[in-house]
Amino acid sequence: MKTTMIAVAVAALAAMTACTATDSPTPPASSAAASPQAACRLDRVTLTTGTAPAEQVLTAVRRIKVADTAEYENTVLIDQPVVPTVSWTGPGADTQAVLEALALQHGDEVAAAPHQGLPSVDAFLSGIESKAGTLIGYAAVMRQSHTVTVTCADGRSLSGAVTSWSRPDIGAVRCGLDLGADAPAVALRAQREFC
Amino acid sequence: MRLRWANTAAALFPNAIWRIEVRTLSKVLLAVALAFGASAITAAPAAAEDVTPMALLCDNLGETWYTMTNVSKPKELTHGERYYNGSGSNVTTSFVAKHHSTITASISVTAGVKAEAGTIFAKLEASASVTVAGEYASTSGTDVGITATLPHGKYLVAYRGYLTVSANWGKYYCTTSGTMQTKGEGAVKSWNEVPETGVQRCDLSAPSGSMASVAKARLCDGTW
Repeated sequence: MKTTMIAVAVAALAAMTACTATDSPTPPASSAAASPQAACRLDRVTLTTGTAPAEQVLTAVRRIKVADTAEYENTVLIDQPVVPTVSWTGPGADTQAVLEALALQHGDEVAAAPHQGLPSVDAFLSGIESKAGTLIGYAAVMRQSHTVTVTCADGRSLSGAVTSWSRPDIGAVRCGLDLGADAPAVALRAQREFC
Repeated sequence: MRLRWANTAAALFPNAIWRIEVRTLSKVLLAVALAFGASAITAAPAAAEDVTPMALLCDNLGETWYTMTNVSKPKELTHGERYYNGSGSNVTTSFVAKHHSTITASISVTAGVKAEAGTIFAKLEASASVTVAGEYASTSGTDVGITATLPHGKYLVAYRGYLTVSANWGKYYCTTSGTMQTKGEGAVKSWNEVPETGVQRCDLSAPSGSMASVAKARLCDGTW
């Protein structure tokens, strides 16, 4: 368990956010200003690294088969972006502002933006020489949950669980090719599961 | 600790003169010593524990000034992705650096009221000797592509990052009666608007202190 205190200097634009109860019905946009919840100006964000191991998730897999006859088969097997979220325990702060603060201080563990792997995979595959055989392109990230505690400027403390991604990995493997001992585990997995 | 604070404060507020309260009659001698100036405090560390700074005097009557302390300039990544080539041939293509975080120029307040943002950022620029973005300006959230060649069996990371600048700011005022007032204090962070974008092979070394070395350390090394 590693707990790190972050003194967050967040722009007032991002920091002045309305606290909302996640278990309450979302009010119509027109009534948002009438919310009885006081604004939470972020003063400090604390991340407690999750004890559960990170899970490797494939966010995109594309398979390209080229026959000796030059017949071509191109299939998207996985296209599942990972979107960072915060599940608040009771009232919460602005999720995006909290994610941005965490990503800046814990970029190795938390990202604020969604990970959509297919565009990166396609760009990579476009540079590979087309020849007979099967090629697998993949994108993967490590997904893990952590505990986040937010201290508002007025002293209130809010908490929740942040689920995000790290270690984005893109690759291409040719089926039937021995990748050797230096190949990453995810490349071997892609070759094993999708060739 | 108080002595250290006094020395630090003296460095921060060159326009201030120390006024010391003597708490007990037995410390009269200390008061006499203090009459010779602030240097007397550093010359008598044992006695310094028995005095309490009450106010700072200043001689630049009617003037306002700013301080910037704890200035740091770390390089921070906003985009990055690792690539592995197991295709059996070299790949020349556009490697996408995925956006993962955004840096926003901001000012926070820990005491008093927020000072003029333009002045704070100008002072930050002067202190760090680098131009920075103005308040609320954010780095790009768009993915970026970098063309490069990756040999079979190798890794590289595509990255984008920025030089950031952070500091603690203070705004002070010298009243017409010669007493220093703290108008505001807090933290400020911004970023240089010229991004550093590139690719770095994981099996090759990167220049120490470069954005490439930051990207290599963060994205190349891993067990996944």
